[in-house]
Amino acid sequence: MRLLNTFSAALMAAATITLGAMATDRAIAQDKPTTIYLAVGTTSSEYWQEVIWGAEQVAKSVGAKVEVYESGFDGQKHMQQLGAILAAGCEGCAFAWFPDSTAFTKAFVERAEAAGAFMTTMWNRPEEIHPWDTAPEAWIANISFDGIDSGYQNGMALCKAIGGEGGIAVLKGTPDNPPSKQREIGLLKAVSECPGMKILDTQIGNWGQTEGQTITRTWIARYGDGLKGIFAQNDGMALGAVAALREKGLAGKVPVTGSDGSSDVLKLIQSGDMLSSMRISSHMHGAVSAALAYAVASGDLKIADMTEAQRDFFLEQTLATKENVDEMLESQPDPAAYSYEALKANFWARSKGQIPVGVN
Amino acid sequence: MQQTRLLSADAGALASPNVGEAGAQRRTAGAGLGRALKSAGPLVALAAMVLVFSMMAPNFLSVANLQAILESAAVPAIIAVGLTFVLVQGSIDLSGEGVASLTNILLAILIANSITPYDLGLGAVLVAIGAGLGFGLLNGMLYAYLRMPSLIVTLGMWLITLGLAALLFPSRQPQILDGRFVGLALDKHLGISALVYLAVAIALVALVVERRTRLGRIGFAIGADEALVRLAGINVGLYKVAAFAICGAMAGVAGIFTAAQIGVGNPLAGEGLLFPGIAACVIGGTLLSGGRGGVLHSLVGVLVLVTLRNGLVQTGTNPLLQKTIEGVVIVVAVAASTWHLRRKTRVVK
Repeated sequence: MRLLNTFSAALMAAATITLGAMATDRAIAQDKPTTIYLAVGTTSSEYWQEVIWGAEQVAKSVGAKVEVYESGFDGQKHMQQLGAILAAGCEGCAFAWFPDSTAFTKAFVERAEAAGAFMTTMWNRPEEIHPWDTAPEAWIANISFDGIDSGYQNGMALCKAIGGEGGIAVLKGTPDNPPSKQREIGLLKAVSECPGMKILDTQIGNWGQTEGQTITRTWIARYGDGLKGIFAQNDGMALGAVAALREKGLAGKVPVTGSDGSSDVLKLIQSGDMLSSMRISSHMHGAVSAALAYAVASGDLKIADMTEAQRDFFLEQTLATKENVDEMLESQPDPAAYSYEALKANFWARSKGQIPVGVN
Repeated sequence: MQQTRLLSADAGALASPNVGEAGAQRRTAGAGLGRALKSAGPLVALAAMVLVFSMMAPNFLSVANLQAILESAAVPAIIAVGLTFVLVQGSIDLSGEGVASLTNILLAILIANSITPYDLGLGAVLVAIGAGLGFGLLNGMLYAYLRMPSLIVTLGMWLITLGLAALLFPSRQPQILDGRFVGLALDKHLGISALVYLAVAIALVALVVERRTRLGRIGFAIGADEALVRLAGINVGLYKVAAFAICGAMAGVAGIFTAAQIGVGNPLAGEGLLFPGIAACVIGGTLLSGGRGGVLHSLVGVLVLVTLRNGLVQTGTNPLLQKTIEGVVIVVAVAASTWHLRRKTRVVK
């Protein structure tokens, strides 16, 4: 009997300590998160490496760490990873998450909401849902880049390069991705303003270098001198197109445009093998996504105080051309500009405005 | 059990050798034409496709377009040749995409490039091929000696090599600055790059290995009836390891070729090589259950797939429809080439 009493007392004591510890943990989690959970499409690309770098600068400046979750663009994998993180108890956690396609966005933010966590999303938001109408207490913001502007500016650069006259061919990414749709809308706008520029053919290259190269080879054989320019919806396919043109000694003679502004493409623009690419502020993409998630999770920012324009916005981007590419290649990002304190002064300092209706 | 069957078969042959021999001769005469038709099936399909596309698109048969087809076929051909050695044994190797990605980035950071200070020249190529060979050997040994299913071993190796490629990736795609290496894709002889000639040379060597060496012949025998080969006292494990080593080395070469074609290192360069590679082998008439097919068959399969992709672009087919058409062609081609086997209970491993 005495033994039993001692045992139960010990059990009670253990339970109190455990519960107490859990309560303190939770309080700390709500006060200042120690981890920022970052989902990326792949770690094997320059863009995503820069996103990680941006998020890490924010975390470092507040003594937190970034945990990176890679999916290889497989939404199911991110779903499992998120499930595993949330299962351990994650009230007040900070997530900067990449939905691999628009089909997963709603599921991610609703899971975060059910767990009492906070989430910013990058790139993929379905047209009909927004942070303020779906999981509004958990989905802080969706942050992307203006694909229409990218398509339009690259399209106009191409128009100028071919003297406003001639046939171009289009390498498209994955058809259901908002960036692919947006860049196409932008290009069509440029074509309507440049009536001499005709689209000869559009092919799906799925964002890939090798596919871009194979398709471009076929175009060169099909159109010969009639092919005056190539509009690639991203840098990967543009690199493939340049490689195919180079095989025929046509690199630099047939202008190629891309989008992302990765360093290898910037070098091709510098050497004249490529015409232009939209350089997105990828470091900033990671930093702002992480900083907003951290700000809400730590109580520095209240979701209720945020306007719609602050919860669904584009970040700034610059068209890289021969004129400004030297400067772009020389400039190195300054970690101080990506610290939490620096971003907190105005999280939306680099915003280019709310994402309009009808582009996702 | 196996042994009894063998003995009784021997006894039957001994009892009436003439009947058996005469029967065999009659069968060969009749089946010869049939077999020729069957193995020519994929070739006929290729010819039909060329005919249809050339009627629909005037540029299809132009020299420039045929060159484009050959350039695009070089890498898939290397992958298919390697896979053939594994498939005829009735095994499978899924690790090609990972291995090719790994050798691609490995080569790009070891040869003169824009990111790392290394400049090993030909050494980088050898290291990359060595890596492919090494992972192939590992695949083969795990499969043959630890008796693990090749599907699972190579699936694991696919992820391992892809992960290693991501680890080696120096945050930015290294541009390859070695002019001689990039020249493999850029310098043309008779309008065709060295990569195509190299691919043809590799295919010829593979053909000789398949037809003229024990490795090739025993590979087919293992696929047809492994137990029989074991009974003959042959070290089956050794031949299995050799097949996987060849396959791994070929995946490594494919990664190197891709690096020369694109001119940069990309840790995802191998993406999209595996399923067209397997499909090409099967379209050409190499059975997944082993024992049939071969290097030439697989090469025809590669040409069918590459010509199809090229033709669909040349004829201006709706891009959203192209994947569907590709799928239909694969299913129809496989159904046609394996129709005569449908009654035999061949397990698809």
